[in-house]
Amino acid sequence: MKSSLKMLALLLLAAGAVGYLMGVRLDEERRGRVMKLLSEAREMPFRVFV
Amino acid sequence: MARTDYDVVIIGSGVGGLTCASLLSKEGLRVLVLEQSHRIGGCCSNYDHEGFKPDVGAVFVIGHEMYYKLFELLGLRLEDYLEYRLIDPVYDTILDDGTRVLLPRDVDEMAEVVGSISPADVEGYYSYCADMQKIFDVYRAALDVPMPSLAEVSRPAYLGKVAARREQLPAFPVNAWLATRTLDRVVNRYFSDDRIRLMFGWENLYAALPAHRCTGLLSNVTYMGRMGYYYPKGGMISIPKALRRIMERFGGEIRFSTPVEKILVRNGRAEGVRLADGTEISAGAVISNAHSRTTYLDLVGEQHLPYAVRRAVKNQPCSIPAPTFYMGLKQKMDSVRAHFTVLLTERHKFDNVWYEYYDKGLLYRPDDAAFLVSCASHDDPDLAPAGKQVLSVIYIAPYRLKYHRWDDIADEWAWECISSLDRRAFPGLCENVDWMDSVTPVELERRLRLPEGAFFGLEMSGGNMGPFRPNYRSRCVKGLYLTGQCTNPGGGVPLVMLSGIAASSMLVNDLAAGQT
Repeated sequence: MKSSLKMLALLLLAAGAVGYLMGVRLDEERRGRVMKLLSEAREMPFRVFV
Repeated sequence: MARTDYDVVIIGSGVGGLTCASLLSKEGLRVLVLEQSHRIGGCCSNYDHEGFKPDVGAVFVIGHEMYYKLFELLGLRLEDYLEYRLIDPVYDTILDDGTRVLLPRDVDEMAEVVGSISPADVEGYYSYCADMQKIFDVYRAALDVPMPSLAEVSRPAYLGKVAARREQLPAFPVNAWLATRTLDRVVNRYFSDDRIRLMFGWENLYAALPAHRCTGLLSNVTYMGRMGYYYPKGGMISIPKALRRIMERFGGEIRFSTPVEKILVRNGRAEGVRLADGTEISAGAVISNAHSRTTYLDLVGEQHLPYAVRRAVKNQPCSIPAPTFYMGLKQKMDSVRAHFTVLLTERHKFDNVWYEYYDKGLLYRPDDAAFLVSCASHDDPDLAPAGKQVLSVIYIAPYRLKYHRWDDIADEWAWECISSLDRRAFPGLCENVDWMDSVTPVELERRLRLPEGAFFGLEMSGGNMGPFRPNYRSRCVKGLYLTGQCTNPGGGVPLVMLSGIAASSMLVNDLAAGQT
């Protein structure tokens, strides 16, 4: 159990690092698009209450 | 239940509000419409400056089958209230390289135009038409289902009947393909020439989104031009005027220059409205045709909203504004060859408008700008004084400017654009202008009470549609209903009519169930 949790944490860390590196490499325009999509995804759950 | 002044008070006389007003009056309810300005129609209206009558907002009728469905529900004949004319040619299109073509309505004639620009794209054009026709057939088949009573329209039994039509099957693969792609990818698949791609891809602006964020389903808007764009006699304002006549025929009332200050909410329930002069009007239910942000934050008030609703309403992105300048011309110009003239730029520049200018709050050079020029008097000469002409020029510009204030530059900017139109499309235009009115995004906000001048209400992207768009029946204030472009399915006259029908149907069902 403990080792699988460790593995999961490691995987998440690696995914985060890969995502960060990919994000850093994006040009400004693409980064802007990704940021907008992420902020939209964050707000969407609230919209169902209106 | 305590006796109220009215059964339903409707805030705003836009198409959504008047659709509700006419349907609910017909149901025998006591209906009052409150309009803040002296004009009817909201975003489907017109101005009248010494006989020049340009349209405000909506500029043509598309999907007019929806209008027939509304009249079917009302038990009336559309022909007794509205007279349409077919717009043909659909557009006079001017491309960046100087190519100028009239786009006809007929599919085969259009193929010739495509062939004259890019012979290799004719085959793609026919393939595009075949696919779009499948979708159009579904739309037509859905509308062939007879309208039930108003109460039944929003019930699952009727919706299921419409959704389960056999005609859906052949179009399902195309629909699924379109729904999972953006408009630019769809257009790129059918066409190879950038000029043709732009001609078939710019109408996403009617949904107020750039092609790369717009659903591929919108690619059938261009095809609908082949099925017919129409223009009502008397201008677009004839539509709200017709709805007003119907409402009054059934006993509904309307008051102009009567702004609503607050929706009266007690114990989580809308019980009427307070006008700007302090008068309170009680009602069994309130329908708001205003922008959702105005409805919830200004009219209801933040103190009545839970955190999630406050946050959602504040952060939900508005659509782009549709700033326009209106011109009355001293005399008719032969260079205005169609009801609509579209000036497009080179495709890369057109796409760049969003990143390089719009998102950064900058204004582009007018010579690099795309314009939609609508000549209302082309199909109805009565909309301009004898021998004269009226033009509306719609363009893309952000609400917030980084280096300027709109009020400081409104006229200067409009004249720069007019000079560009003079050079690119209408020689002699500058000297021919008799009257000009520059309506910037900020001015739109003031005149129509539209937050950020958002002509299409809320953005029509995936994250703002379906369950993520404000509900017809408010989820946090009982007895409050919303209609208009901020609700599903979004902006555009027929869609707003659909929203009015849905909101009215829900209200009638709630009244019958004693829930409001």
